[in-house]
Amino acid sequence: MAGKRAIPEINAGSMADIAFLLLIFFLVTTTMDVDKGINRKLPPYDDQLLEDPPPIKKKNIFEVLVNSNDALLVEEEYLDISRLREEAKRFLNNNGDGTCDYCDGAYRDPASSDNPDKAIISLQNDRGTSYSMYLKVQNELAAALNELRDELSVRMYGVSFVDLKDKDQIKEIKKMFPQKISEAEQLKVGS
Amino acid sequence: MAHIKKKKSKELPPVSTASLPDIVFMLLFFFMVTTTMREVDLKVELSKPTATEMQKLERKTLVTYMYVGPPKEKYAGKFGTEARVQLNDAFAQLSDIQPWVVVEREKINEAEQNQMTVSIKADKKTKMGLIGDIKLELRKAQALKINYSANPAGSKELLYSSTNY
Amino acid sequence: MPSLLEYSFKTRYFENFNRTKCRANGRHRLFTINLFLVATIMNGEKRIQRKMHAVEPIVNAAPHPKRNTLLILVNNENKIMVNAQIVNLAELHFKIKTFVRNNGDGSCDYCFESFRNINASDNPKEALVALDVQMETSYDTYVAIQNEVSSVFNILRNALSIRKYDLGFEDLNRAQMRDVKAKFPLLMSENVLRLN
Repeated sequence: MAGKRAIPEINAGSMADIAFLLLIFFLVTTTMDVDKGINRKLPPYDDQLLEDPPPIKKKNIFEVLVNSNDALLVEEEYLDISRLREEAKRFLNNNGDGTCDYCDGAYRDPASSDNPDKAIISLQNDRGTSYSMYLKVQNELAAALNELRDELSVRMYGVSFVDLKDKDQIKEIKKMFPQKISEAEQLKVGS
Repeated sequence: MAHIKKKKSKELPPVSTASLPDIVFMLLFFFMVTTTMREVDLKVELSKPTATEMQKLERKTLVTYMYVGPPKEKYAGKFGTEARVQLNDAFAQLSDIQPWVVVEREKINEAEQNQMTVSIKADKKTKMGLIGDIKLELRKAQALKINYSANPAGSKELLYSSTNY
Repeated sequence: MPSLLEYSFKTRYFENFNRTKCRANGRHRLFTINLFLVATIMNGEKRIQRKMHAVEPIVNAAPHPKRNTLLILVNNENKIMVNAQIVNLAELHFKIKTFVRNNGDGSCDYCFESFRNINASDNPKEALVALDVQMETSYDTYVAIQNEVSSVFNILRNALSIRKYDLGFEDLNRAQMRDVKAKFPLLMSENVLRLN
């Protein structure tokens, strides 16, 4: 016992260094999984959306289909060409939401157009539609529009539309009954 | 007197450095324990895409994680090599996403339920078909706040040059 | 019979196309978009079609509106197309930025410099970024595009907040942040285009 020397103390300073090194190593390696990302908000899910709704309300579209047998399907009903003009006029003149003060709109059919400004006539032909039928349909639609414009210009300016000279007046009438005819690609329209 | 004078004019006795390593080891053990809190055993190969415009996920309690990627080697035999969704430690089908969201939402207190964020950790090679389906399921479950998890890129230029678009 | 994708694309665009503001190059654009996507679909059809997951009825989600919309298309080969041009990420960033910060109808009083390009958005509040990807597009391309969109908005918002509040966007308080966000809202509409 007498000869035993005290065990030399371990140098505490280097222990601290080792410990710090280990600590820093751990701090660095465990923050590798950075929880960052790009934030986004998804649009709410609406059952109806899945049905791919038309961007324009259906009632503002006057659907005219012509198949390869030259039969007319207007708003899902068979129609004779002779009645196309009055049906188109009735559609344009409907005034569904009451915002049109120059329409004859005694009809106010909720399933028909809101306002001539929003009304669109959609025309779809089949590959097999004859050209003459196509022309007739175009003619009837144009005639419907012209008649409406005529009636309006007589009411407003006392002159029929074709006799209007003033450019502004013409533009005015055209704006009130705009020509909005949309023609889709020729596809197979069911016969 | 001479002995006292030899002492440098310190007011306090020098701090013993013997206990320093102890303190440091304590800190070390603390970090070792707290940072292995990951409860989920990652079963999919996940190499996240890189991005620069990211935000940190605040409030970890309001975040639920969803992992998407090809199953790891050891699971490949059973679950195939196509990208799959992993929810909570198990592989799941798309139809499982909605109930899972509901369950996870229940764990959050009422007032904050609408702030729940779903963090999508998807492998960068995942196809958008699957991601699109996942997003649709999340929308159906009303989990609208999502976060696309990504690794920070070194810099914008690095990001542009590393991708071949 | 045109492919289903072409058909759905055409009808979708035609419904929007024939509104009052009808542009002459609309058809041409449609054609090139179709060509771009069909070219990639052609490649896809060489492989055996795999059904990875439950097949839902074909839904192309809600169609994108035509006005004030910047359409970004990404195909299966991860090529990005905007306005009938293939772009890389840096160009995409630029295109998104010029689209959003535009002051098309003059109603924006906080827009910098008077960009008044009629082909871009009317007002940053109405600018919609539409992103269409295909089924086999890779997730990292998608995230990279999202990153660019975020980057554009961060830059624009930051610039506005410095001009208005003299603080960086991150340093604003909630009300101010909400205000700046309302002036540059991040509006996106996304779809994954499917073939049956």
